[in-house]
Amino acid sequence: MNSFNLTRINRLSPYRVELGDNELVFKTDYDILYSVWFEEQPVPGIEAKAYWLNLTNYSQKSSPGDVKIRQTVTCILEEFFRTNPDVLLYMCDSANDQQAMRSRLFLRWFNAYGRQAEYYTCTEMVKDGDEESHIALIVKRSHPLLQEIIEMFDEEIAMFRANKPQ
Amino acid sequence: MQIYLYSLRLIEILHYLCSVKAAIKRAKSRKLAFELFRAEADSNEVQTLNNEIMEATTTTFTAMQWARHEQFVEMLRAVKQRKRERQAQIEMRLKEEAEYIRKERARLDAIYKDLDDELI
Repeated sequence: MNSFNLTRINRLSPYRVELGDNELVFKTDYDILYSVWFEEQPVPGIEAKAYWLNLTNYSQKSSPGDVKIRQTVTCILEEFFRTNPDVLLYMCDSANDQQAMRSRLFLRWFNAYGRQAEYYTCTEMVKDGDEESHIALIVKRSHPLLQEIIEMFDEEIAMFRANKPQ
Repeated sequence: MQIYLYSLRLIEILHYLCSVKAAIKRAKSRKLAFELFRAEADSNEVQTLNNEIMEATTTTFTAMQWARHEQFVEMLRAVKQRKRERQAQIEMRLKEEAEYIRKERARLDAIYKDLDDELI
């Protein structure tokens, strides 16, 4: 993974982003520590490089209405796509059974980001046994394998919904 | 002559009323027919949607696609597992930090207590 330019992130980020142990960390006005890290993970059926985005609230306290968090994460994501024009997947944190809410929030973040023309985003709920997971796909529309990636993702979602023949 | 004219006028009015009644009846039947048409169209739409859903859920995938899907599911499980492990690590670290703060506070309280005792 190509390394990020922290100066470029901090030029626009409302919270100061610092480099941690293989992660980017920032502290909010409410003293809440957030961590953002990317994990490379080959996705079956995709030739392109893919990463999982992980966003963790270390303090485990809520900070309702803090738009600066969204703006900071957005700055980090912009830097990710600037230096790594790859596929980004995101699975919402399942803490407190708030996955669906987090999925909606994440989509709202990206919509508020106002870059739909530049990025293809899609969030879906999949069921593995009794366990529900909300996953999101983000990929730059300029990605040379965009169509293949979307088709693969849609196919996987369709297979989650279909019953596998025994 | 006057009576004859009045009768003609009355017949005219009656004829007009009859035509109005017929028009209302026609409009009602047209409305009913339109509603029936809409209902039929809606039911066709519902049927089409049902067919699409059925088609989507009964799409057949090849064994190769299912094999790849298995890999995808395994990958999701692994990602979830790593998230859980990291979450557990965070919780452990927070607990340790809380315990450290509690111990430090107790230690400082003891020091201040000793100082207070000495001063008294």
